[in-house]
Amino acid sequence: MNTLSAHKITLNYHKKCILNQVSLSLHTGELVILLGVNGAGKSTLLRVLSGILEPQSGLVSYDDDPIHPLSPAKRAKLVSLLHQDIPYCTMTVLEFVLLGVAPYLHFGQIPNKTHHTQAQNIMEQLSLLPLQNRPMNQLSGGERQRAALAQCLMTNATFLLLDEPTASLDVRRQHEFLDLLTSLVQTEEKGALVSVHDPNLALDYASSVAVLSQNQLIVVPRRQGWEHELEHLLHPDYSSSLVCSPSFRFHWTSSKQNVPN
Amino acid sequence: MKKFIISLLILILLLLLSISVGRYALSLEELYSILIGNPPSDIAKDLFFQIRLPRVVTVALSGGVLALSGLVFQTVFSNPLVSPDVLGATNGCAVGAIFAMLFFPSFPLFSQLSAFLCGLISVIASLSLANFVKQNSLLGLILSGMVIGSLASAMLMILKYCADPMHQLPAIEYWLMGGFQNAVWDDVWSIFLCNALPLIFLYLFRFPLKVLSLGDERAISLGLSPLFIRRSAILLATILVASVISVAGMVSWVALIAPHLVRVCGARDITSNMGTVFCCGGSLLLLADLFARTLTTAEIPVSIFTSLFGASLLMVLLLCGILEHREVNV
Repeated sequence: MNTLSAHKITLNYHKKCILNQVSLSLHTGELVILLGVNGAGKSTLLRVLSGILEPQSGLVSYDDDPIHPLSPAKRAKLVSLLHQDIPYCTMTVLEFVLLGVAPYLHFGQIPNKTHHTQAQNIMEQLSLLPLQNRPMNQLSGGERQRAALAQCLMTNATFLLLDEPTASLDVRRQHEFLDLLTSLVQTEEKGALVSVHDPNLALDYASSVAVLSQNQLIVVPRRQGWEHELEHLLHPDYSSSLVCSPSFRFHWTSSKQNVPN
Repeated sequence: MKKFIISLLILILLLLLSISVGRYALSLEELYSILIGNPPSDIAKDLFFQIRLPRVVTVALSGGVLALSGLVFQTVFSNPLVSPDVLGATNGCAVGAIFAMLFFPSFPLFSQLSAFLCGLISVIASLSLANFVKQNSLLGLILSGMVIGSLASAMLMILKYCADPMHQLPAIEYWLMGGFQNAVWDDVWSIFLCNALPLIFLYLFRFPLKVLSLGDERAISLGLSPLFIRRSAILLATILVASVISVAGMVSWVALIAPHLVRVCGARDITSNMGTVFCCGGSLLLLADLFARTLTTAEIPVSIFTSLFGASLLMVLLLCGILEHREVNV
């Protein structure tokens, strides 16, 4: 089992504190869901964990080895980040997925037949194979999201950090995407940290939930009564409008109308 | 591959056409007999080997490397409207060449060398300034390029102001409009020798360049170092541009428009089409040079035609709305 851990990460951006002494451990076989309001610092945390951003203090390590001093290529083989926005480029899906082998190529090398087969296997797993020759800018939001995931899987990294992968998906595709991720985490011994907005997705899929609120991170593992712990944690940010029903689902109640249970 | 073969055929056709057309026309049979070593006359042989051949080869090579440098600049800046001028390469070259023309007029080779070096120096200055500023990398680079480019153009104006208006100024203006009328075998060799290694390196860089076209953060998370790739690619592409400008003077538009032409012809991923872009640039410049030397009895500067072609092509693309639907893909 491998572990990606953050130890007392502090990060300020333009003199504003974004992360304050944040600690987190992510193990292989775990799917951790990251919750937090807009601007809470979810993307920043994911970028710090992936090594793109260097924190002002604190340490991110992979099995006790700090990852920031590593070369980008070595880091990319351990941790892969799925960015929030996927570029509207005209390269085909296959070409886009193949870019994922970049950390394994030496200077002047281009993807070879083995890489092509590997890419096609991954694409088959994500039911992208029929789309392999379509340009990326002709795909729907869900298809682009899967293509981006395929590119992350191509790097064969142990840890996947996904920044709001369900943001542009309809309800069915959100569940399909997270089902897929759950099975990947279990079968391929990977660890995933996924930021989402819907706390119900966290209840459905997470092995533990990390809530980023007021620059602090609190991790709640799945256990009896964790819904109420979460409700409690989310209250300050949602000014008590987000309530957990007796059937353990979160509902939004506004002052104007009450949503029936 | 199909596109590359078609563009290569067009380039070869234009090469043959350029060799045969001119004040003294060479028919295809004459060309053939010269090539098999049985020239119809000594004049035809000298014309072919000493005048036409070095000129068309220089033109084709120059067009090709300019187009490739444009492709590289557009890729590393993730912007299809960028050309090598953006970091002050062309202005730097001009300062170098004109400085040598004014102060060392008796050494034509020195003017080439000084143009080449000044072009490189201005781009290195832009890169170092951007590094010093440590702004958002891409924006910082473009702004530094503007600073250095403006400095170079100020120096250019000072040099022009100091030049003798009867003899030196016309020569300077003529040089600034570009032309291949003086092309000899030495130019072919200097372009070839300067560019052989950079071209090989740029070809080897094609995969990282493709990754870089997705943006810096993505490139980092795919294990590359964008800063290193961008700087190396820019330096290599600058060598290409500077070597051409030092031989032929300013040749505008080819670098900007050739990659677009290839994109419009349906190349989805431009970094895998380096050969096609090279041939396309070569063909464009050959065509411009053909007009420049055959339209009137006097030689017309080649940049007049490249600018005309470029402007009309861009206008057609704009009017047909082709550019709008092709998002930045380099």
